[in-house]
Amino acid sequence: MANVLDYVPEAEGDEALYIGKVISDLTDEQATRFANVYRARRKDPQTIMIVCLLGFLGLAGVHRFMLNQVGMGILYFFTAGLCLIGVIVDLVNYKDLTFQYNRGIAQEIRSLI
Amino acid sequence: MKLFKKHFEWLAFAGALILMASIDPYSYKTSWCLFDLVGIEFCPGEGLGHSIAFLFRGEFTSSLNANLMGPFAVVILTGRILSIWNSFFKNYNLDFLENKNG
Repeated sequence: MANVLDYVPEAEGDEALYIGKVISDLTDEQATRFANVYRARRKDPQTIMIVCLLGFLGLAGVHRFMLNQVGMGILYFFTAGLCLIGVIVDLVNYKDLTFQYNRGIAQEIRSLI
Repeated sequence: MKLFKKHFEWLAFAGALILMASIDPYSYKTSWCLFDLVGIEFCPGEGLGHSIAFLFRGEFTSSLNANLMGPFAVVILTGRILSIWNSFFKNYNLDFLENKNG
């Protein structure tokens, strides 16, 4: 039975729990294959937070583009992060935002294995 | 706390939309812009609240005059809220594996 700490050590909290369930019934070879693809495609929560902070320097919305939310990214870009209020909301919520994205990626990869 | 974290984003955006919709668009006394509060004069989001307030009162031209991104903001934020609600109903457990194997 595959253990998430062996294959995706950078996952924390909810992400680690979810990935643990996803790979729990995979063989070692399948888990390695899953982890290789997942680690290449996942977004790191700390990176999203740092990019979100750019909103305070006038460049808002880049983190939303990274999470494949183009409409929100354009909105943030042209409104200075909804007058910084959106930037603050995202700073509070960056872990959940990133987890939602990573969860979708995990499901997509798992369905291909 | 976990429940609050789960619902924080859509609650914040829905609350902001409702708040902006309820302000008096003909009054320019209050500003919710954080750039304004800090003292920075230029803000590309200036007038966004008034734009949304005009839009909810049916004054589309005034809405665009206040801020070009106003109507776009309402559409995108509403879409984002609906997308978050949709994700609550979506199964992120592993049932999709049973469909694949079965």
